[in-house]
Amino acid sequence: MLEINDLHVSVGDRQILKGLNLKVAAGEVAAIMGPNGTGKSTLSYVIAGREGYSITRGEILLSGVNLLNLPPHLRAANGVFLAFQYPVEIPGVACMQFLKAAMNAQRRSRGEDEINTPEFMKQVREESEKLKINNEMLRRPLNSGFSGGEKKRMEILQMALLQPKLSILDETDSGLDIDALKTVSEGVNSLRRPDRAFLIITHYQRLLDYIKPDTVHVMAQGRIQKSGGAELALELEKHGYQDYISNEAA
Amino acid sequence: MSPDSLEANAPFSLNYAQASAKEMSRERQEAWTRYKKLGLPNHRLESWRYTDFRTACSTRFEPADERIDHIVLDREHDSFRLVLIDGLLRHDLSDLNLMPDGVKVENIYDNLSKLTENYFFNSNVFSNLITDSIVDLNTALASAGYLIKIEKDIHLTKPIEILNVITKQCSVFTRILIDLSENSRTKLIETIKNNSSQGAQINHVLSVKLAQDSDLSLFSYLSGSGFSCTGVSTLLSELGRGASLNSHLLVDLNGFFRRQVFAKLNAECANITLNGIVLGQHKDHIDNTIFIEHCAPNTTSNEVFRYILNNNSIGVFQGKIIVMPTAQKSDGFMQSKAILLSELASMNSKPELEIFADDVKCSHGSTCGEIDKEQLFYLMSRGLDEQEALSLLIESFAFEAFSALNDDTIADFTKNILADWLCAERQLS
Repeated sequence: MLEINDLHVSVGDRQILKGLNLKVAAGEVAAIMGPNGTGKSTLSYVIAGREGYSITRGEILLSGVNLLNLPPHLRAANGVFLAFQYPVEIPGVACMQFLKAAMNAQRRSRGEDEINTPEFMKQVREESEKLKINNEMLRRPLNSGFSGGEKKRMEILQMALLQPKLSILDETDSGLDIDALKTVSEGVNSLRRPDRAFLIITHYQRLLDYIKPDTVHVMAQGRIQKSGGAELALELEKHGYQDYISNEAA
Repeated sequence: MSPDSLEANAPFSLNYAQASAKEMSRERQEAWTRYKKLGLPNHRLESWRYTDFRTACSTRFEPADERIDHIVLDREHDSFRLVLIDGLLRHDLSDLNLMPDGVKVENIYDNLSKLTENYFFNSNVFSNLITDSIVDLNTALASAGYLIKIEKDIHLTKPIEILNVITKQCSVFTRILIDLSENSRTKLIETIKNNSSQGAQINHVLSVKLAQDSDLSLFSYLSGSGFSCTGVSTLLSELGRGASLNSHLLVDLNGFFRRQVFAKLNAECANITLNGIVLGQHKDHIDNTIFIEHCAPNTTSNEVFRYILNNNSIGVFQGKIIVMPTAQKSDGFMQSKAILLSELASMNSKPELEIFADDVKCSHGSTCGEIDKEQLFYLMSRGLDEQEALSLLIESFAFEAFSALNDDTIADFTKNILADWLCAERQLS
């Protein structure tokens, strides 16, 4: 479903991704693990289409469509969803207004009819219950004054409503306590389906105890250094990333 | 320029000749003399340093002739309305005979002996705050002056509307006075609409007196499809014990315009809210200057302004809160924020606090910047295209100024104006 070939990305003079290759099949949950500053967040931003990165070589294909030719909103309409490491606070935009605007914008881009209000309310109610998001929170401005856990649950609520083909979770576990981690993980697990793929970016094994990955990729120095099954994460937990960094340096 | 040469140039003297031919009151004469001494305010006056009115008004338009043109005006609001066209009241378009019980409308020039005592009730009250000739000029040249008096305990649900329309190149001077008796309550919609395709000049004064426990919700809308409008709209307001003035301003007007407010909180627990949204485009110059004097204990004032400035437009916000020694436990808050949509747009902001009491809460804040790129990307990553995301961010930014607006009709009206404006800006960019 997702295919990244020879991706080179730089910011200013600094090259961050140096020929990254990655394949994620439909239905697969792929974890990307790696030390700080290795370009994991850059990878997620580049897939979602954030400004400020120069892509010097390579391609990112989602179901055969080269995402690099599309602006961020059309990538979203094509099924890309990024759960932000630091969700942005937007004071003045009410959560419900935003959720509806996002759902309808994607529908319009795909040439579908807009969602009617009763159906929208029903979907929001169902999904927010699963994530323990109450009405009071939905009435507040988007992410404004939300706690770390609330922000992450709001990200997963958006994911549940937008039903993306490819969900990228950028350090979704950071800033979460055990209960919130469980709630968020259950939310993600309930969205697993044979026609959807997940890319889970994390430093630690902990999140992967709750969301079992099919594949684990070690990223260091701007490339995928090693790929394997779920057992690779356990190995990393034991030995750290040192091997991969020194390999590269040598 | 010496006062003599100003007089020799006889600025607006045709307006004076026309107005005084109909009613020659002592007030008019005295105000004209004071104006001629001072001239129009320019940048050398501190409160006009960003808005040089003398330069902007270097060409003076003549008053409109008194021909009655056939005009159809759509009703934008369900209201009791008073319609002024090119500075004169139009009975055929106004609801003078339909005013509800407890509301009295008078032409202030019908009884000149009452002018100072009853009508220009607050011209002198503000002499310590007003250092320029704008209000005097209005007193000297007003071609229409009406007093609306709301009787004691009257609570109106349907708003009163003052619709001030300019249809052709001319200079317009209008004066409206609102006298709210004890425990009365009303909504007022004040619209200035410039539809002149060849420019216009306007000096409008709304003078408001709020007696004990009275309550006025004011929505002021400065608008029009016409070519450049140069003008000043002044709000003079005196508030009695427990009185409340809740004012929301929306500026979507082409030209060089200043809205100035002088407010005195004269008795305990008086409360004033002055909020505003300014939409600037092309070469617009939009100034909001506010003086609030807390004269009594436990009085509160709140000002929240949002500017959205495109192209070469210029925004000005000057707010001064004065807390007198007698005004302990007062609470004053003032905030202005601007979003600049173009590198050529600019914002001037000058908040001032003058506090002479020791137990008060007063604060101010001011920011100016571009659209937040992180917020824009976040919205786009959820599927909103750039224009839709921008519109949502701008609308939410603007509405921060209207969060205290307790009127869904006005909120919807404002949302539509804002949406139209954003749509027009989109076509321009």
